[in-house]
Amino acid sequence: MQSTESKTARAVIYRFLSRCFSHPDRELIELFGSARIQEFLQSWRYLDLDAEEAVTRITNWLVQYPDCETALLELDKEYARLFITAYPKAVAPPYSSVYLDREQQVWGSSTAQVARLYETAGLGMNENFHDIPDHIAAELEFVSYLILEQQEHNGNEADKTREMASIERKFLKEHLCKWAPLFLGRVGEYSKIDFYSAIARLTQKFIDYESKLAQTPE
Amino acid sequence: MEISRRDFLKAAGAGTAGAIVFPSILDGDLKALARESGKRKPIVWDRVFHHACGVCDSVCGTTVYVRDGRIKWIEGNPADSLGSWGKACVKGSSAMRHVYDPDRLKWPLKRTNPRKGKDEDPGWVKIPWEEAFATIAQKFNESINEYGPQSIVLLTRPKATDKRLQNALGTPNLINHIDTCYSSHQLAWMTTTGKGRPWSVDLQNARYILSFGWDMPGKSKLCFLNPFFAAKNNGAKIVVFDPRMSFTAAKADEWIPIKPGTDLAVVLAMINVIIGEGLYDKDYVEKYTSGLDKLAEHVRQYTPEWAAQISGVPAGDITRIARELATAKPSVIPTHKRDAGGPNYINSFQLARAEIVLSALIGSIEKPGGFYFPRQPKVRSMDEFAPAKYPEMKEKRRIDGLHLFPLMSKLGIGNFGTFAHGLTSAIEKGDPYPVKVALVNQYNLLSFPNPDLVMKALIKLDFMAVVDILPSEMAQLADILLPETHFLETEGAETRSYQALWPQVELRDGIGMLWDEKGWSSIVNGILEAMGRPEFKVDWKGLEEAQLDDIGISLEYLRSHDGIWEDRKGPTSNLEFATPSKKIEFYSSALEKEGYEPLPTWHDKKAHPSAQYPFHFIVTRNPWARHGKLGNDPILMEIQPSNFLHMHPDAAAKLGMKEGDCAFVTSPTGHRLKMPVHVTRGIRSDCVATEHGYGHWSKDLRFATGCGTNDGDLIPEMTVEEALGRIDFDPSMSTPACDVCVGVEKAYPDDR
Repeated sequence: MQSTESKTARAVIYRFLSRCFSHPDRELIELFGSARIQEFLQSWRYLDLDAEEAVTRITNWLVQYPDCETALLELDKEYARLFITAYPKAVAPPYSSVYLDREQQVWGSSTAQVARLYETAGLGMNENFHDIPDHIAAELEFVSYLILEQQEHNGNEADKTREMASIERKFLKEHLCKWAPLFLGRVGEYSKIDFYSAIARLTQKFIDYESKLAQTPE
Repeated sequence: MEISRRDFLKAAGAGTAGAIVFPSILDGDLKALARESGKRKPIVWDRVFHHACGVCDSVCGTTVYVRDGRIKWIEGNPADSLGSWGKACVKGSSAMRHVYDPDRLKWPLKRTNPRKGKDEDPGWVKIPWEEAFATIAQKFNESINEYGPQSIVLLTRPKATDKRLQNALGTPNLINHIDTCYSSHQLAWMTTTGKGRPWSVDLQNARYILSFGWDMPGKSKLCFLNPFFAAKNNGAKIVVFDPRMSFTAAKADEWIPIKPGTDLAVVLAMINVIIGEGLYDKDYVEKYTSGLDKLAEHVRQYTPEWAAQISGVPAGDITRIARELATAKPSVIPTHKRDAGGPNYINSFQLARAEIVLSALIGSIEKPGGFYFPRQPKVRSMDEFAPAKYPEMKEKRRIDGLHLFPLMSKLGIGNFGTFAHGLTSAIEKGDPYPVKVALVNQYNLLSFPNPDLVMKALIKLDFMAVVDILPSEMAQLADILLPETHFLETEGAETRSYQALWPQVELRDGIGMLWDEKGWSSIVNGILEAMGRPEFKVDWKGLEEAQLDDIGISLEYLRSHDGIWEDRKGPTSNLEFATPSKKIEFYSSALEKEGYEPLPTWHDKKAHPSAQYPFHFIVTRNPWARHGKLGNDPILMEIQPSNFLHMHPDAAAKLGMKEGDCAFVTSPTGHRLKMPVHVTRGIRSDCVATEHGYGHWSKDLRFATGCGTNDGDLIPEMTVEEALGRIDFDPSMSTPACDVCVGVEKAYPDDR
């Protein structure tokens, strides 16, 4: 049985990683210099996992640039290259269907599964997101939401809590933990900058943890 | 709720040392997802809607099935009696893989690497639409202020949206691909009948179909394929002249492998036979044509024996087919785009005109079983809907030299063949004036002859914006790259122009946008607004509504009527023509007035086999290809992963080659392409052929790139001077797209 703290820690990590796989902006860079990075590191420690080295790599990478704008430009370029235009030749499209479905296109059957789970959990795609439901950033955000919802309803709405827990388990086992390693492997291998290769390895470490967690009986 | 969560988390963290104190990151709103229904983008899980296919100009009415939130199936809409006839072709039924291609352009992008070229990573970064519009507007305005509006080149479509932008800017340089497709046909019809594009052919009622390279069924154009097979099933006789056994030739009663570029001689000889033997439709010719006497005298020189020597077709066959054509009524000689009368050879304009003259002699224009001019509903135009006072276009000279061709200028299109030289001299020498910026909408580099030359010129521009669906080769050269909506994403209506035997409007419903793209007309409006010229913006949605209203329908009407509106009354013949004589002019007054040859006259093709280049070069397209646009579809590419060099067994044997070997192909452009050889009796031994649509090099295309070679690399570009040199017989300034001979040698697998 997970403690409330470990659940919170997981939610923090999911939400933080979701930000890392969203379009980079000033806020993302500032995250690494803010108090929030301590929350993030603390969350890892709480799960007996280590993120220090990876975060150090990232902050070392960030501080080599004289200012936020210069670092952001490098992040923007690499984000577009890896995840949007994929130069050269489709480096790492951030969609599950490209890895799980035979046609390797967007909006495959795995996308539909994910989008249906979102609906079951009372969620939909944010109209400002302008992207496909199985985008890695959306999926990571989804798990953090599910965890928080369980805490929210803890005690007073047992059915709701159980439902969210079962969606979480199903989503992790049948979906996220299946494709994330394939995607993260490509990011780790092909990223030209430490920021994304470190994030990819860190996310992989966390997905390994999550995968085991999802396998353990309740 | 948010407050209670915060308190809860505080409480949760307060107990143990080292635990989480205040996870503020969990405090913010969801970014990718949303709880509130008002903030959500709804997903339509299951839906069936009607659509007008946008892959090719057949615009077939289709029915689209959405299951599990995705388009799963596309089939023909039986209510479309002019295009699909309830069927879908290989391209149309594959269109969903175009929509869901992960390589698609999704967001506006800005280039950060100033160097441009095949091996340069553009260094894209995502930018907001406002920034993209502001940048384009700034570059346009700077260029106009410093060098005049002519310094802007628009490589876009010849549609109302594009004309609006052109006129609002005041640049003469709106250049599009039409010359590499049908300028020679269009001008031939205009100078003979006074009307433009008669691409409505009543094939199903024809008893005799004579084709000079016409192969629309082989291009999966259902609007032609359906009536073609209906005619065949009705027992029509089909005769095809083509150096290569095309799909149409394979279905014909007779395939005559004519020497390429000599169809004109055969048509002139057929005119000679039909007039000489008095086989022409006397009633039709007397009532609706003029200039028979002059024509009769002129073609006396073109005997079947003379044509046989040029074309290799026996004189007896020419005479026999001419007689069959004139007596098996109704007969038709369908022509369209890239057949022999298209801009393939320098004599293509003359051929296109001779074919029209022959069609008129047998009474097959505006008659059942023949050609009809498109019947389109009368609706208000863009300028009537949104009148604007355009700035005066002071500079009328164009960089492609089109202004030197008075009749072509009236068509207001452009020339891809002369674009490379024109652009290079404008950029490098400021001749006739400097050109600094360009805007491109869905025109790829690979559609130009000798595209490397075009690329070298485009790279030297100060600024270039490209609007596209996929990251094409052209997109690789952009400074600003904008994602355009796919036709299956938006909603609207489509008025039929090909095979419009009667007026038809089709519904084009869509699934909504997958990413943050915009339609071309919104992009044009965005640029005009950012340039400080909002008075030229057009409410395109409002225009469409008004046009539908003029017909008495609406999108809702179409939705409740199987997606199709048709005024199926015809076609009724309209035999009044728009020439000065109101008749079909064998002796063209329009041509005579501008100093061109007024009667169809024999001219040879330009390139002939030599020791270095012994083979005529023929370019064709696969039934599953739409130019180069579908090359990134892995399933379509699996049908044929590379273009072949089609060779006759005798020619292959002479070079020591067999099926599956590789060959190097060379041409006067200096390029040397390696192709796998396909040995076939379906081609003359003095010709080689290959398929267009291969040879992509954009590193952003995962499936298309690395497959095959681009035929255009072997086709020479053209100078305006060269086009002027043959202006008397080719007023259409046509790009001699296949008028080249090539050399072939055996290659080994490791050869480069």
